[in-house]
Amino acid sequence: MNLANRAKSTVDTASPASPPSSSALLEVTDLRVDFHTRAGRVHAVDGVSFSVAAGETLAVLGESGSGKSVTAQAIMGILDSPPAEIVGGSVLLEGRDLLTLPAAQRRAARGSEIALVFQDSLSALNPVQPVARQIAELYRIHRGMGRSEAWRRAVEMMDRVRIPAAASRAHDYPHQFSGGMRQRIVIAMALALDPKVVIADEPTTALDVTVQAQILDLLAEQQRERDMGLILITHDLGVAAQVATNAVVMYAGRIVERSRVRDLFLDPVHPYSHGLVASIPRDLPRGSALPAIPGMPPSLTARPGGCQFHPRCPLAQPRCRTDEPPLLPVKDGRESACHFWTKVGER
Amino acid sequence: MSEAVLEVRDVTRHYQKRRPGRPWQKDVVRAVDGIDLTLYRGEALGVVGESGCGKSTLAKLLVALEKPTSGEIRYRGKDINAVRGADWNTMRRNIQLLFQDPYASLDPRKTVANIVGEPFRIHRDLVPKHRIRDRVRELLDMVGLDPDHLDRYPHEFSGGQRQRIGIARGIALNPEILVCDEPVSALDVSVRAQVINLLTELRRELGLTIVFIAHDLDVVRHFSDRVITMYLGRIVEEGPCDAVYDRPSHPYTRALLSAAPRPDFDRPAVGRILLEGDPPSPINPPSGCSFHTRCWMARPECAQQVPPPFDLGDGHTARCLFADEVATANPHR
Repeated sequence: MNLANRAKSTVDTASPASPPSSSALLEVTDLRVDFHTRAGRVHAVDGVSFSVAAGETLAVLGESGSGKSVTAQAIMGILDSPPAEIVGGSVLLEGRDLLTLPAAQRRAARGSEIALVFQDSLSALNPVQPVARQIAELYRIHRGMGRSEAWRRAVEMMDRVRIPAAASRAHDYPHQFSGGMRQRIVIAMALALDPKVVIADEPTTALDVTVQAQILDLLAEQQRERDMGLILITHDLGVAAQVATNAVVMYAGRIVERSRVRDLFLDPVHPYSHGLVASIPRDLPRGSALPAIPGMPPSLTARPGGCQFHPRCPLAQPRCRTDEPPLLPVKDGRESACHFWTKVGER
Repeated sequence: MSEAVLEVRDVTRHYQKRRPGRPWQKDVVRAVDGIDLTLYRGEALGVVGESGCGKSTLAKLLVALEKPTSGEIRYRGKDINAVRGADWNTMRRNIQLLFQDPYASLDPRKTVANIVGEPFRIHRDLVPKHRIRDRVRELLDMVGLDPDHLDRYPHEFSGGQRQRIGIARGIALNPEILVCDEPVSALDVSVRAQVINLLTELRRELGLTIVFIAHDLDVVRHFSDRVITMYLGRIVEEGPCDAVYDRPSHPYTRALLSAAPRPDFDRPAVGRILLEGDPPSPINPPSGCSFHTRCWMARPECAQQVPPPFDLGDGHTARCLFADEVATANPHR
């Protein structure tokens, strides 16, 4: 099962959900991450495969506990292990497997080839160092630049992410910036070494709507300019719709649907994605009941057997309790992990 | 329109804050800066705005957890901060608050029976002591929790269930008004709709008047009859939901609506309004219209005077000198 799955997903990564002309830059195949907890070993990420091409934006959608952030940390190599352990899979960056790379090379790749934009800018930045110095540190360590040259580049970078009067704010500390400006600094740090792939983990969750719009625009613009691959991890369907072209939906550590974002919203092929899309209040009579997904996401320690979603699924059949549906191509280059995907959205 | 239950008259709430690095100097934070508002019986009033606009302070003022620096809030004609004795009891009982964070607002050392039953131990005349547990069971059942779980502790519940416990506590005394401060923001997407449905149901069954504070604009529109937009401690626009959403008449409301990420693939990208910068600090708010520093249609006169309410009919008002032009103005001059 494991092997079969693996072989299949390697084939699937070339699915036409990504633009056919560009080849994959980052290829995650059958990634598995376990956590050792007091309750025993739990599967936080359970066979996740996806790929990102240059210039592509992939949204990884899911709610808390779905494994989306753990996936990002596993790709970046910043998982706390223990308790986490990568137990299988590969992460190919231009053909090189990051997971088997020697530690020194891995460190060198981190930041310069693949970078992460953290969610919480206040804890991602060092509170006792001026911001430009934190950006400059990247140039000093990775590029071996001198102090003044690194500082100059750092200020340049702050200017690129449109921090007003960058030169005069370079000596300021993180707490002297507003949330939006701090997030720009975090983005500047991620982009400083011109990485090929950027993973943004809930980059706007802590921000206000009008500031969120600015940050999303900045990310999209930088991505276009540099032709980066961008992985946007989010729980917000609206954010995904605005920025990404392709999406994978995660539930309880697995991918349940892979689609173009537009298709995901107009015609979801998994009951979970359908439930998420339907629960956005749009064009419904005021005060009418929203079509809600019953129940709550399963805890990792008490996962239901078979399809992880079956206890909450309107389409569940006896088969779903025992038989875990693999992620298979369904139509138009899209994939769904549901036995009854043809019935999704029928009432 | 039905009768007014809560009237807010020119209320301000200022906080003193020591200046960082100069603790002997104090700044005045104008969290709420002159608000007039009437809440009508049975309505759901949505409140939108960004962090720091005074939404949560307004919520606390409405339930008398905070005292206004000036102005008054009248419930059934009486100032809620001046009432004493029986009137005070009635006021407290009838205005309840539902907190944002179901993790922080439930005492971790109390059982559900204690948390939900506490209001009855304060307002003793409602339910006899030996009936409290039964009443808590009924309440748990009403909010969709298992009545047999009443001896469990908050940590044994998920976020959505905890918010249901908070709701059970909020409706325990059969209040007239329920003020909900971001009731679903801390919840997972798939659970939000459940909690909103529960609030909708309870509102109908109990005839609640609801103040619904949220930053999710779609949710506010779905839930509320009327909506107010706040910016830097002031109400900048007020009106029936459909009027405000379909014809926003304050530049800030229009920007807010346009900035909200929405899975709307047919919306033209050209109409989007991207505001510059962050909301200014409520310590030294800009002169005149406080939005003029970020406004995409600001003119010199905007810095001179605080705009009076511009009446657009049907209870729709906007505090903008050019409110009649906002809906049609081209944001990309």
